[in-house]
Amino acid sequence: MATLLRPVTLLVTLAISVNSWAETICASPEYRLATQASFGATPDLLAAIRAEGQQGWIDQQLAMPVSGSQLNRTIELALKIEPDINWFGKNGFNPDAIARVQNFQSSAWWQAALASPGQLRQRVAFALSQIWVTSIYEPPLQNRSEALAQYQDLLLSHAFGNYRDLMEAVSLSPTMGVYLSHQGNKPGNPDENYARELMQLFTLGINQLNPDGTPVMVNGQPVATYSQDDVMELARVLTGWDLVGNHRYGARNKLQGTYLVPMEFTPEQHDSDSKTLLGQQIPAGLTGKEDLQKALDIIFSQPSLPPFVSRQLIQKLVTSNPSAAYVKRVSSVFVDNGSGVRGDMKAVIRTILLDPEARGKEPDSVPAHLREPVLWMSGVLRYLNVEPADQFQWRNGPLLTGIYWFKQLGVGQDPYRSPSVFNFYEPNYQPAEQYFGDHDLVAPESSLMTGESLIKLDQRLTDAFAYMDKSGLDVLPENQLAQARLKRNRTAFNISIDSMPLMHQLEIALDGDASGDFHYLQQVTRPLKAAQRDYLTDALGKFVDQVAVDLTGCSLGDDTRTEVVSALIYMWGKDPAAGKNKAEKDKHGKGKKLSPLEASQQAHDWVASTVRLVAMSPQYWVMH
Amino acid sequence: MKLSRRDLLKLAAAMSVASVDLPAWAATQPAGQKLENDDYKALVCLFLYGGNDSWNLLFPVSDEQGNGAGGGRGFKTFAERRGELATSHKDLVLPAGNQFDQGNPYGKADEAYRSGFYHLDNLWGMAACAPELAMLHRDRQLALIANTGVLAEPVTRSTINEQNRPYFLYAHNHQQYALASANALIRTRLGWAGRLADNWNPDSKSVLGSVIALDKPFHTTFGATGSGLILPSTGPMAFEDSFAKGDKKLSRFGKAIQTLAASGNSDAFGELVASRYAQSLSISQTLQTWWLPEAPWPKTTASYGEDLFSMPDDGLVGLNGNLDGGLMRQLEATARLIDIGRRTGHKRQLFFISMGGFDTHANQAGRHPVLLRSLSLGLWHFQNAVNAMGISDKVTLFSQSDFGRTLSMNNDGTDHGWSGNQLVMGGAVKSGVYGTMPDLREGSESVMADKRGRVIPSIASEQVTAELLRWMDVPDKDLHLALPLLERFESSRKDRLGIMA
Repeated sequence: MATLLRPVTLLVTLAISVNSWAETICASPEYRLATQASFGATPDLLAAIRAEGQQGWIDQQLAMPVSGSQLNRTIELALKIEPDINWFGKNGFNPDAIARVQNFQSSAWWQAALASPGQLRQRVAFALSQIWVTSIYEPPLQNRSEALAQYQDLLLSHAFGNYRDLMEAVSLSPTMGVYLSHQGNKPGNPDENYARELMQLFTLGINQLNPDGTPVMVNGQPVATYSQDDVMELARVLTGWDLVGNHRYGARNKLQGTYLVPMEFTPEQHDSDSKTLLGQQIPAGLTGKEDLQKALDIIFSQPSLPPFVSRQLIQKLVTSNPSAAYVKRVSSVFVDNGSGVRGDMKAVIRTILLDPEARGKEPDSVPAHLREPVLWMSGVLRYLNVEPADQFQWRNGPLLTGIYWFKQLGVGQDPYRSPSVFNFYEPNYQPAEQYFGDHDLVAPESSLMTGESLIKLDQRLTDAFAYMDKSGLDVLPENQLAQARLKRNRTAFNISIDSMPLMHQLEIALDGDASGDFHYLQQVTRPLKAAQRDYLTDALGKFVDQVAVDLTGCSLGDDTRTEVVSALIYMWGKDPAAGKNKAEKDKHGKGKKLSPLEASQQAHDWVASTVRLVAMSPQYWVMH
Repeated sequence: MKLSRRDLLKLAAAMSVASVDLPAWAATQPAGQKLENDDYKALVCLFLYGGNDSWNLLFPVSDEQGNGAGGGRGFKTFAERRGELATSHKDLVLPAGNQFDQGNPYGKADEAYRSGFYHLDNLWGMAACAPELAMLHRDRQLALIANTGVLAEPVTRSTINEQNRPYFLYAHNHQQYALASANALIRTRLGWAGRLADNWNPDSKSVLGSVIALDKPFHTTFGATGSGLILPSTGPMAFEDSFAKGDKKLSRFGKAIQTLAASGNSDAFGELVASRYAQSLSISQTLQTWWLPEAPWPKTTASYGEDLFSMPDDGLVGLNGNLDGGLMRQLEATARLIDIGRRTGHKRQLFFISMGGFDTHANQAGRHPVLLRSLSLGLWHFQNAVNAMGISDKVTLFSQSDFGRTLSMNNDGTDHGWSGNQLVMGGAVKSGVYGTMPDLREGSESVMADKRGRVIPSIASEQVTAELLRWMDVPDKDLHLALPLLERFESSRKDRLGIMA
């Protein structure tokens, strides 16, 4: 197997030697920070955190500029992948082609998440996109998906800015304007949609909060943050804004208006009478922008906002159930970054990540939250050295390199494809299991963990090993390779992974070298002798533990490892030709040895099965 | 979050595959019926997420004067309040049979939403986009509950205050929670179906519990000892290599998953993950065993001549927008699971399914017709399948939604309102329209003071649920456990709606 003779580039594993299997080894500080602040730990990332120190790495990330526009990438992908289409019309993309833009937007998103060096900014923007939700499932955004790329650019640029600026930028964003329908509003009966959710979901929540996130109680009752009257008053503030280039004020048409610049103000469509919002006056006669700024100032100054926002950011990055003291430490930095600035996101993020509770230094509250499907997928793909798709081709277009194709993940969570403004899951979702109710714990991401989504996630990974693994494809004959490429180019996602470092790890465990010949496997006959079984059990056990430590930060427990290893050995013993004709059986049957090609194919099967099983383990799913 | 051993045991118990089958009361049912499982009833709850504008599904059509409904209760006031969303006052004719031989009965598709209505009785009409629902009413298999919704106690415009109104009225999620828990006063974790199931016989180890949600969790099914199963509406699926080829048994790889699933790492989150994998495996196994490759109903065609649970051709329906295939898929899965439930000896089952997209703040005239059309078609297919299986009196479906919407328009849609109209469908239903016609005029006791036309419900959602649970033979003590506020609306027998035969 020629490819195994490539220079050996072993994964830098966590600095843990697995001496004793009796002990479960868990989460190094670097691994923990990587899971909180990136889309998945990689050897390079862990090395960088070790080199800079945790605070140093965080500061370095916070200082990095935005590393590229998703809007530009979306356009670039459209031009590259389907060069024969006339993409541009008067207001952006051409009406003939717009329905396909969503694929390019999604691919641009995944590329940044998987490969951007500014991982922390990407991760915070992902969190913000699940608080300030917009989604393709609101016409005409399905046809104008450049709007979602533009919105992601907005979140990326404000992720390390000020929360008050973010509030204003989103309020004027055409994407949000269309998604929650304040675009084109007029005096009279203005649409209440954005006005309500701006307060309920994006800034204040329904009940007033203390700085530590607990509800303010008066006479034993929680106190509402806003009333229906406030919703109606805020809806009046939000009148007069529409997309630039709309042919008729307030129209919603997939061919009209641009999503690339903020909405514009039309004075005649604005309700300029005075308003009362949250007990404060907004005087009559202001311009739309002044009105909006006054209203946002009033909301931004509410004492509930810092704990409401802080708690949700903590939940998305670090732990589903932060202690009240943790929330208070973060929300007080939100209130004042030390220089008198309220809403400084850099200070807030730094505080969230460096808090003793996040760093596992609070023995009574180990941080924990579940991976959401996107983080499950991104984590395992980054572990598998994800790269752009190999020889990508879409719809008879040109053969391309450099494309991460993510039409759809289809596992209950695709970024910017939430079923409603309440996101894929609610921040206070408590699973049905009694323990969570009894202990007042939430596990928001668990609402996505259905049997179906677990199976589909595993299927994506299985597909990646079958059709998208450079190391696996290298050994295929040309006709099978063409088949595999065809299959990939029809899947909902298409990237490349490289299991070569894992193949080397496995071979070292089996043979003590990474020469590529898997000579032990070529020697062993089936059925296994007891000594051979013991040898394989030992070698595979070491390999499985290394995969577990690298992918999950933890080794598996004894029982689990034993079961995984015996499943691997059993799969090997299983005759690949069982059930076929006699000649085939004789060829593969009793006493026969594996050819060099069969040995490396067997090794690849083991690598794939090991990663699949470890990725199903609770150790991987729970981010500590 | 290190757990004590006691905690772990408790967690494990709670997380063992949530399943209940024979309800305790079923044991007291008379035995000796002809069919193997003649004592079977299924109740299907269809949740319309986002707040369906059901005042444009069922609406007043009579005169207000003379022999009409009275001031504010007829078509004139309705049309005034709805503005551009009002339908024309045109009585459409339903086809005589079960199929549209002459094309759409509502005429030109792009005007369907406002083209008229099918008379249900002197007072009420059904939207033009829902001809199949009107046919179901004609065929005495559909009841409509008018002016119903989430209530904390009976109120009117002049008696409503902070204490007697539902908790966070107009907020999607809190109204959904209120419907799930059947408690509009406070946010509680458990749902009415979950509380019922808590009292059902827990001895059975069958994976097919009596409470089944399709595709996602429903708070309604959350009980103290577990929750409803979540089954995929797509039918059987399994982890690759997890079952031996052509076998219903777990392969070695499947067993490895099972073992991983048994190793929760002594952490509540880990245990949660583990239990989800365990459930996934057992669901795959059960569905692979029981889900039939062929449909369990005789071949039947629906309104456009299409096969049951297939979508009619877009050109025939003619609306500008995609019909909701997700609802159709869930309804088909429900019909198949009902068949499986009967074959596996279950006696009472509750199903929870859903459809989204009803939050029509914008472009309502373009979007709502497609939603109503999907709903009408889907329910027609489902009822036809149930009829074809010969169990129409054993299956009842009812709808719920976050809230109704404002009678008045914003720019081109409607905002969050309160009361709405809901459906109860099946062979055991006494068809007709239940509830009184509200006075929709501004200033009336039936609408909130804020001028947008947020109608105040006169029938609590619990009253409808109670009717259905009684039909399921739920004893009174369990009924009141499931619906804690029921007595506020049903102080005596005469307050009962009497929807079910």
